[in-house]
Amino acid sequence: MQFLAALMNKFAVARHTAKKTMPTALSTKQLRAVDKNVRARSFFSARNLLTESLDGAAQRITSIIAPTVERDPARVTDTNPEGLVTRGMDIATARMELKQLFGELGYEPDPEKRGTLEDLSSDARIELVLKTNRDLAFGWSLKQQGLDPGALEAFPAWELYRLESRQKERNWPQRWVQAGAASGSDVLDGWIDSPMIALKGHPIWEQLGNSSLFPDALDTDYPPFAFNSGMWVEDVDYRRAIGLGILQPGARPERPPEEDLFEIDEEVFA
Amino acid sequence: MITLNLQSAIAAAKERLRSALESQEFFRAMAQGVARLIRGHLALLDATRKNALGGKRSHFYAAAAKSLYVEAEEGGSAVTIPAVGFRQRYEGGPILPVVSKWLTIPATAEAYGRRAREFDDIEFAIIGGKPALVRKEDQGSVDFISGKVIPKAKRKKAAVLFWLRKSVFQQADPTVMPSDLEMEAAAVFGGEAYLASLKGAA
Repeated sequence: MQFLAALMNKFAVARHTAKKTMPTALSTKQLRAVDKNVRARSFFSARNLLTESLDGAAQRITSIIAPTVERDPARVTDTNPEGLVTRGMDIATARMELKQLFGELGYEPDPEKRGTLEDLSSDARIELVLKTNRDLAFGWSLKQQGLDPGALEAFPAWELYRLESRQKERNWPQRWVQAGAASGSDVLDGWIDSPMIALKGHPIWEQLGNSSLFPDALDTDYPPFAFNSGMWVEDVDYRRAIGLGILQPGARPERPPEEDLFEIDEEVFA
Repeated sequence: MITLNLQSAIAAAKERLRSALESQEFFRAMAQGVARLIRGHLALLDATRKNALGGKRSHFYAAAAKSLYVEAEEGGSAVTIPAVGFRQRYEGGPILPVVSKWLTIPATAEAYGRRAREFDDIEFAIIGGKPALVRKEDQGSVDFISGKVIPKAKRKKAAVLFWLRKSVFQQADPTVMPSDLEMEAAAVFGGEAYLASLKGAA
């Protein structure tokens, strides 16, 4: 197998770096009232007014989703003759550094909430911010890649599945059916209930991430759909989509309207 | 009886196929097929390779699957997994400390997925002749309450959180990726799926 030096996930980077820091005193529930396009363009965390901590988190997420490849003579082996090594942040290091940053900023959590999600400096809260934003960037990238000409025709549908195990798993099959009903379409009208498969342009995806239906949802039509969900999607090929009855023989998959939320600055990737 | 000359029909079909096979979309579909295979492979690894220490799962392979990015153009396609540590697992080789003098190797579930600097109650110790970071706890030889000397055999053993190493050598693990043959088959699958969509075949 041939490894190339470095190819950046440019959709993920575009999605993440387009965000502007938005300190806010609003709670998660109150933030849902903010236009979802504004939220999609903003880097925020509920009740976090510390701009430096938000900037610090955003920078570290950039490093997580866009590591660099360097040459290190000390790493040369038979299997890695060029001594190429990936440099970038991982979740553990980012969490540790952000915890330190909160200390330097003089942040003191409410003693009764120390260590909980309401403590901005807790491990759980920092990890939630890091992983949610990382996954939103990668989820958007997956969606864009899946809609590319050629990819959409060959693989016109997605299957929702559990990628990461959770100690307490939410009932996603039930959500799926609820989302399908909310999309205003019946089973076989572009989606089926089991396995959880729908055409890529189907409104069920938007409903699955709709926070007015599911309070933990992220108001996106791409994974992870909800905080800490562990859910992801995988491509379903053309023949299977027809076999399942969600696409009619001879029909071409419809491309959903293009978004221009996160335009890619080609100069960044030159 | 009738005999038809198929030359023009076949020539047209051949041209149609040639055009499809050389299109950007065809390359993209093949690359998408490979990306799908790799994501599935990594998802399986995430489900089956839990850390041996039993600590909170980092879902390393799932994160790698999410990060996957594919680009395809006529004459060239590439897939990338921008996850720190993935190349290292695949190719193996030495791991050296970058920030400090020592590598910290988790010894317990509690230490897994955490950095030594996140603990403020650990200290350096030599355990069994090996350097380690241990939990600061009463290692003393005198009982606080009674004031009596505790026999060596009854003293608390230090709880090792991290072993310290100057370097480690990781063996290459090519199984973190599907084989070349599997990727070739996945590319064919993606290409065929695209062609099927063109003719609207079920």
